[in-house]
Amino acid sequence: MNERSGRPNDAGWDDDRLAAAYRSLAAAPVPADLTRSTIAAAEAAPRVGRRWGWDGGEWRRPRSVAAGGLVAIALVAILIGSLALRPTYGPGTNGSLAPAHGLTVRSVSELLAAESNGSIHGDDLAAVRGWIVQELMPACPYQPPSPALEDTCTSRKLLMTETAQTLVTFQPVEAGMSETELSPSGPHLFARELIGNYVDPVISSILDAGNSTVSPYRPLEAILVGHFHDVRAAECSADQRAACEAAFVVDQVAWLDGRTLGPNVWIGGEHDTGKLLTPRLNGAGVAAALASSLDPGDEIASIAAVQLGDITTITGQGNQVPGNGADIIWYVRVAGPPPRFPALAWGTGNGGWMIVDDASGHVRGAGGWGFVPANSASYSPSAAPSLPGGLYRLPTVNWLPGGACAGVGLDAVLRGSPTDAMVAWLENTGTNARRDVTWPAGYHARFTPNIEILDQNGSVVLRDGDHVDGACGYNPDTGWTYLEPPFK
Amino acid sequence: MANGALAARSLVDLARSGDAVAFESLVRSRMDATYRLTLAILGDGADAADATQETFVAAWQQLPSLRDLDRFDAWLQRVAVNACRMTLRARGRRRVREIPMTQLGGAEESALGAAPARPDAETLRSTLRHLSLDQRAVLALHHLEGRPVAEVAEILGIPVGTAKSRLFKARSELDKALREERR
Repeated sequence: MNERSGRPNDAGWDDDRLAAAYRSLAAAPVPADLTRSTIAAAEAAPRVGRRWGWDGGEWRRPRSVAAGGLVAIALVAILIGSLALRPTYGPGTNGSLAPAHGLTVRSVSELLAAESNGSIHGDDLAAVRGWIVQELMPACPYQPPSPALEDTCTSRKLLMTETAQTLVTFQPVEAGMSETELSPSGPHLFARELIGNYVDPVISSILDAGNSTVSPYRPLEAILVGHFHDVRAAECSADQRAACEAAFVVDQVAWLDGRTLGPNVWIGGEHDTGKLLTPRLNGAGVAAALASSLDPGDEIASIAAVQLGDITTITGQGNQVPGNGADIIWYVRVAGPPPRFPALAWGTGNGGWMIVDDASGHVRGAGGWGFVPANSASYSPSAAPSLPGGLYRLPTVNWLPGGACAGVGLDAVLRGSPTDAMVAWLENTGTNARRDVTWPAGYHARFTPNIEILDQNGSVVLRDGDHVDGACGYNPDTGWTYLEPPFK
Repeated sequence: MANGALAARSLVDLARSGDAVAFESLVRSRMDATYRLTLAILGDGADAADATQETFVAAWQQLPSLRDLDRFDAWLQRVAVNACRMTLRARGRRRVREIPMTQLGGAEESALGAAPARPDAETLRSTLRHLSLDQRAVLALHHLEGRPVAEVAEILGIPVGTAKSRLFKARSELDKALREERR
């Protein structure tokens, strides 16, 4: 209750009546198009320069604390706590840090050399130890969204140097303080953060807890676990592709300024408003839901709640998944051997991701570990039996069946051959024309001697000659049709 | 700090550093409230739309200088009040104004001599023209937004004592205008 008197005045209006009149006056709807025209006007407006440094006894915030340019607004997430699932790094008896995930902790120069000479395969996980160094936050012009890994003024970049460096210093001048910013020296990299691994809140908590007279630009020693050759590099423009491939993307901030951090749980925001999502599960619930699917040697690196419609901002534009875009899912980064479920044709990678549906608590999909989904440009069909027990690998996507199905009418029957690159296909009932298909995650085939399609649980769901009169989608780029049960 | 507040702070963080998507999200989430405030101060839909647009353009330009991210909403309201001030000045130089249909209707009825009892909102809209911009702002922030005097003072950048006296004066002027309207 505020300081309103509540008493009527001689005009007959008490505070309640005045408030009601104000509410009525202001109840008119926002004019159509005002939002759009306002955004357009802002886009055309120049922006004032930055004001940073010492002001009124309080340090301004450095770049990494107030950085921008994340992959999407739905990825605005906050650190809400740490899971005591499994320790990752911690001080050893001799003052060193004990590695986890079976990874060698490299220095910055060692990491860059390993990437350069091919010692790190593809997007395998790697660990690096160095110093997170603060930069000033630049004042950027208004910029339309750009591919996640492209280097722009608003890109969220985390500078890690091999040696401790302070790049931003302040000197007293007549009008207050003057700032000076140096370039980093020696081996360094600009890491990119993946959802669930934002360092800002952690740095903020360190700075907020410290002495306000100590510069927040002091370097912080850290160990990052991450990978090169992120799948989203394919979205970068041609002139930035190589730089995007060489970007070190953080899967886990494992250790920072004396604190063991991972695995962390993050909650993302709604796509349209940024409002915090309200998932049903919590981090421990997600870990429990995944427990039976993971390999015993797996370790969870991070957990993040996002909306289904935003998953392509994490796993790549070509990785759309059928379903309600507003649904909440959990994106879980895992280090260690490939999971036991779903039984995909995993490659040789040492890490990947799992998706858990918040509403059902079920695994919804998985990727990484060298698996190449059939909707990827780098997928190459192969009929070689790649699974134990004479099972044949099918061209599958990252997602288990069960999402909303767009519905594509078909009139076809199943056909297959162990010598055909696609293994299984559909044959049009009237024309006998062939239609190549992709399958849900975990699907595979066997020949007894005719083809049988088995789902992610090993149950036969289609046999040679079975009629199929409905599919879930069609990819005009590949000419492939995506099938899901009940195939009608 | 509550999780929702942290999320909002992150959004402001992103927009401050130039992130277009974050800023658009801020515009969409604050559009209704900002238009409501400017309409309550200006009493005219077209002016309120102008002021609302000016508010967000100015916010975009000045965001890099925002110090306390947790005070973004209060800061935005201050920007809105300033935008209303500029709009009122511009209005004084404008020859043609859009007249709301509701006012036209009231004028027609008055011409017939019916002298109907107008809704309080219309009465309030009419009496606002007798008040200064500062008085309108303090009334809207206090009675529409429900802001305590201390917060009103912070938003307007004035001492609490000044806000109290300005609120008292504004209410007195409004009461006087309301009495005039009843005659």
